[in-house]
Amino acid sequence: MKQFIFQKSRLKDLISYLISAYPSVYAPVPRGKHFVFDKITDASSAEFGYARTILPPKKYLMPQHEALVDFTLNENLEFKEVISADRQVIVGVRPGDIRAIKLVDDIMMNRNRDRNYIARRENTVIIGIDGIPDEYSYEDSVMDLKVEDGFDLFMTDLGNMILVDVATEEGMKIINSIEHEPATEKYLRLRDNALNSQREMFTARIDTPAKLIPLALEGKWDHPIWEEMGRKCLSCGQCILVCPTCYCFNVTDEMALSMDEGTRTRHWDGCQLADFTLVGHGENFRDNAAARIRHRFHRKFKYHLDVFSEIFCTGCGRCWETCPSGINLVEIANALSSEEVE
Amino acid sequence: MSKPRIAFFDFASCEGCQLEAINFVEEFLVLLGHVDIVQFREAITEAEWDIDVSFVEGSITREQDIPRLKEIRENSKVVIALGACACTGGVNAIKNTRPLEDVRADVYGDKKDWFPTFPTRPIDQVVKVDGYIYGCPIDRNDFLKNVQLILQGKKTLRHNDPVCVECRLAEIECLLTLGKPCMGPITRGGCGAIDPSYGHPCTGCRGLVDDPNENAAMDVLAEHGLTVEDIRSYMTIFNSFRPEDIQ
Repeated sequence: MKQFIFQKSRLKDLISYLISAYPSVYAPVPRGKHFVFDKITDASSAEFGYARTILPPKKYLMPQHEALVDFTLNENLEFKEVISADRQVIVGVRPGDIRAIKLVDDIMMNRNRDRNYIARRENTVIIGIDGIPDEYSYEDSVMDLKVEDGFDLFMTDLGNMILVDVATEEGMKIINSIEHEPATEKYLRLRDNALNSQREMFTARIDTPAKLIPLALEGKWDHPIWEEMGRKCLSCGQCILVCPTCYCFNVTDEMALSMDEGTRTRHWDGCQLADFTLVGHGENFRDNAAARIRHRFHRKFKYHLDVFSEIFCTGCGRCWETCPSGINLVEIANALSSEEVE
Repeated sequence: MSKPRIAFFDFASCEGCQLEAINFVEEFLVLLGHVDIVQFREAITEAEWDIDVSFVEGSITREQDIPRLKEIRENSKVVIALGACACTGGVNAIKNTRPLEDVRADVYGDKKDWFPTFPTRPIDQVVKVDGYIYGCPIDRNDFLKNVQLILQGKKTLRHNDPVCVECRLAEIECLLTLGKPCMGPITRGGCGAIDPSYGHPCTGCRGLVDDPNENAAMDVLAEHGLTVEDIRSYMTIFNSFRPEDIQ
C-alpha cells in the first residue's frame, strides 16, 4: 500500500476524470434530508459530508431487483442468462460499507459462486472515504475504523489536504490523473490524530467487546429482551433492507404481457418480514416478531462469527435510524451483557 | 383452447377500479387478446353468464346485494375481489363506526326509510373469494400481474410485505424519519409505495398485513404527535370493518 497526499481542491478533478474514464460513477448525493448513492455525471453533484446513505452501496453489486434469466415459451422452452456488468466506480464509500462489501464478497464469491455478483464485483472500483459518526453510528464498537483492504483508493480528509491510500494498480492509475505527492510521516500522524478524534465522536457504544457477545448470548434464548423488542417491532422489514451485510433474496418468475416470454428476477428479502419463513402448507417456522428479532441478532453477532469468524454488523446505524420504533442492536447487546451469564 | 371468459361487476363503490382497468388502454388491448369479456357494464353492453373469472368491485351494504353476489359466484369459476371496497370494505365501512340510523339520517334526511342499508362488509363475508387485488384504486401494474397469474391458474399475490419494503428499496425518504405519520409499516404493499414517493403518507388503502402489530403502530403514530382520536380516525379510513360489525 502506498500513501499520497493531494490538495482537497483537486478532488473535483479526480471525480471528473472518473466520469470521463468509466461508464458509471456512483457517489453520495442528497435526497431531501437524507443521502443516497446515485449515478453522477457532474463532479459537483457528489457530497461527502454525509453520515450514511439510505441503502448501502451493495445495491451496485447485488441490485434490489436483478434479472437473472430471460426465458421464452415457444415449442421449446428457451433460456438466456442475463449478466450485466459494465465498469463502474463507487466513490465515497465509508469504512463500514467497505468492510460490509468484503463480507458479502466472501459469501457471494467464495462460499457460493454467484455469477452475477462476481461479474459486477470484478468490474467495480471502490474509492473509500473516512467516516463522520452521528448519534446512530457505532462502527467503533464492532470494527477497526482503519480499513486495510477492500478498496482501490481510500481517502482521509485532513482539512485542506486529502491523504490517500492506494491499494491497487487501477487505484494508482486514477490517482495519477491529478497532481499528488508522497505522504510524509507528518501526514500519516495527522491521519492517526483524525481517527483518534473520530473515535471520541461516537455516543452510541456496545459495552462488551463485540466478539464476546456470543458469550453474553449463552442462556439468553428466552431472555425478556426478545419479547420486549417483539412488542415494539412492526415487522416492516426496513432494518434488513438497509443492512449492508444482509444478502438474503427471493426469486420470482414474471411473464411479459404477451404471455410468451418472461424473466426470472432476484429481489432483496429477509428474515424480519413475516412471509420470509412461510413455507408450503402455510406453515411459518418463525411466526412472531420476537423470534425474528432474536434470529436477526444471532445472525449478526453469533452465527456468522461461529462460521466465518466475523461479526456481520458494521455499526453503520442504518437499521436504527430507519426503524419506526427505534429498535437497535446496541440496546439489545447492552441488555444481554449487563447481566451475569446464567 | 377457447379464451377464458371474464366479467366485471360492481356493488357499493365509485367504480374507479374498473375505470382504472380500462384506463391502461395499451396494456388492456394486449390483455384482450388473451380473454373474452362477457360482462362489463362500464365498457360493453352485452351480458352473458358462464364466466371463468369474475372481478367484483365494491362492498356489500344492502340486503339486495347478497342474492346478486351469490348469483355471480354460482356462475363464475373464479371470483376476484377488485379494489379496497371489495377486499376490506374500504371507506364505505367507516359507517360501521357509527349507529346505522344516524348515518342514514345524515345522508338521506327524512327520506332515510326509503333506502334500507346494513353494516358494510367486504365481499368475502358473503361468498367464497379466490383472490384479491388490493388498493384504492388498484395499481395498474399490480392488476396486470395478478390477471396474468389468474390466467395461469395461480393464486393472486399475497402482498403481505408492507409498503415500507417497496418504499425502502426505492430509497424514498421514510416519512416517519421526517416526523410525518404514515401507515406504511402495517399496510399491504404492491402499490410501488406511490403515496410516499410523492411525499404523501400511506393511509392504508390496501388493507392491513395479515398479522399487523397495531399497538406498536399506534405508539409510533402517537410519537409523531397524533392524538388518540387522530390515530383512530387515521387507522379507520380504509380499515374500519371488523367481523363483529355483522354478527
